[in-house]
Amino acid sequence: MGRTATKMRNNSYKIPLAGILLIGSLILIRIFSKHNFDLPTKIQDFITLSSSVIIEALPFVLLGLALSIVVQIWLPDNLLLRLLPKRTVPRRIVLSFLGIFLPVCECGNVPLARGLMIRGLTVSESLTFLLAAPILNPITIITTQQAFGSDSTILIARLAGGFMIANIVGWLFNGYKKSSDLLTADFETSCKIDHKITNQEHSKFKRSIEVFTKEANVIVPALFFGGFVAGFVQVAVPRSILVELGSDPVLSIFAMIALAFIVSICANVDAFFALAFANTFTTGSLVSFLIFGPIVDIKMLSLMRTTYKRRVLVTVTLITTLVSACLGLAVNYAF
Amino acid sequence: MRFKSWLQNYQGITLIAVAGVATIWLGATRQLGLYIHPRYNIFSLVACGIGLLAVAWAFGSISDKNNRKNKLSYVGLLIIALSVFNLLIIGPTTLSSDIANQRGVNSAANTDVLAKLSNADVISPFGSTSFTQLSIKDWASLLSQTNDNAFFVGKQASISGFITKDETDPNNRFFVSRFVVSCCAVDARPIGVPVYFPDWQRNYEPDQWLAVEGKFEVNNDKIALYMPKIDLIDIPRDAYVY
Repeated sequence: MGRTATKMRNNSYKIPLAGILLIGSLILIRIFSKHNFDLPTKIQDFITLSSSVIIEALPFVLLGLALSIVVQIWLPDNLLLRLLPKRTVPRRIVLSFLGIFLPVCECGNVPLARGLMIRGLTVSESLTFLLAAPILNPITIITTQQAFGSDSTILIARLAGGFMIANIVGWLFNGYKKSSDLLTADFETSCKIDHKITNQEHSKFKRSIEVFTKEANVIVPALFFGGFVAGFVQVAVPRSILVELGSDPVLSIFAMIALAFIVSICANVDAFFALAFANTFTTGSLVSFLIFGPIVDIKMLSLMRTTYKRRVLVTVTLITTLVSACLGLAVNYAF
Repeated sequence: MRFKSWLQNYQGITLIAVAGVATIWLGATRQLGLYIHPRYNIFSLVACGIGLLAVAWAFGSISDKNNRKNKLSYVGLLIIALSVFNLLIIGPTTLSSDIANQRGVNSAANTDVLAKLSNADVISPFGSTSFTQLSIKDWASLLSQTNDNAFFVGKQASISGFITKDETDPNNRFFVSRFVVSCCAVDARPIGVPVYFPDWQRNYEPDQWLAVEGKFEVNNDKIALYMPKIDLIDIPRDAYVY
């Protein structure tokens, strides 16, 4: 007993030391590294673009990890499930608006959705939350209103689109009884094991650190991979090809959907980016951009793949494309 | 083998440590603006600071059983290596004129959303402000608002930016350009003011940063700053405009 206690005390001293040593080494690498390499400009641009995606998104992912830890470890058992309506349709409708209370951008919502599933949400409910939250949240609403204040059609169509896609996808996957059809094997296993076995073993703080490490191991490499691919595509695909299609009521919609997929911009500020295209692109195509981008882009697909099977991602992409294109066309021809 | 096992357990938090250190170093050296809009600076620095604290605690506190199912593929190793190289070894810099040309300097989609206005309307937003005080973004907006070259002739501009070739007349004209950023460098949109300077490539090259002072004149029906005074400058801390 005494030896175990001594061993535990020794371990507790080692923990921060190992981490501090690693972080210190990284700081030294940064300070003493040679700053000016004569890299070809395309490679330098790839580095700048992919680094900017990672540096911009990482804080949101960390916030999402923190909320996921709160949901998994610190919230009382079943609190969330008790608060939600019992019937599936009203339950999904309520989950669509959960983003109002947890305004994390889309990258941070992935770890949060994983945490919600570990605490009992079904796959379809997690998808409803994940797809609605980036659009139906106060920051996105305020920035969209600021950017397109004079045209409330865009904000209303955006909110309606986000709500519709989230609930259609949730309804479609509600029929699946076996979560193994929809979830990756690793995540399905952690849904079954983690909560029950480890709950009583350690303190809440230690469990929080364990969840942080385990979730970071899954989510963060996916974010970096998505960032590298987004950076590469930005350098390789000339944006001007898409911009030339701006005035066509149909082609402009698909051009803006393709742009949203490539750019992988954060939902909280994408309205300001879209604003710059208002002069040359149809209003409907801006609506499509603002609905599609927060749900499906290179970075998000990479992050979602950590949790959901490929068939889920294909379905989400198809429905999101269809709904955002239909709403875009409706705006172009009706207003 | 031990190194591989170590990385299997720690690849996620290693990547957080790499990006966290890079972000805080960029913030400390006031270069974070090369990657993200300044509105995110405080949030990013606080989040990364807390993230690094969590990483410090997490290292060594997890047993192998927690992550025994994680597989470290060659892709995983490549991601870690690329991240260290990109974020910690390579020095930060702005996007190049290649990206500006690829996205189209002053393409209609890159300038602010303003309807075509008459000359009087163009002037009024700036009131009696001296034109030399207008920023490069102001000039790019004005150039997008009117095709009436007479409005610009004789007006003095004092701006700075990097050289981007004017593809329509690469021997005689270039743009003094900047990127406008809404969120991060990925959404950067190039804007610029045209400069008429025959055989400019004898003295200058694309991507060089310049401070330019001169007057607008018309050449071959195109408006541009005509043979302005040019000084080479270092890349400024606020390289992007917002």
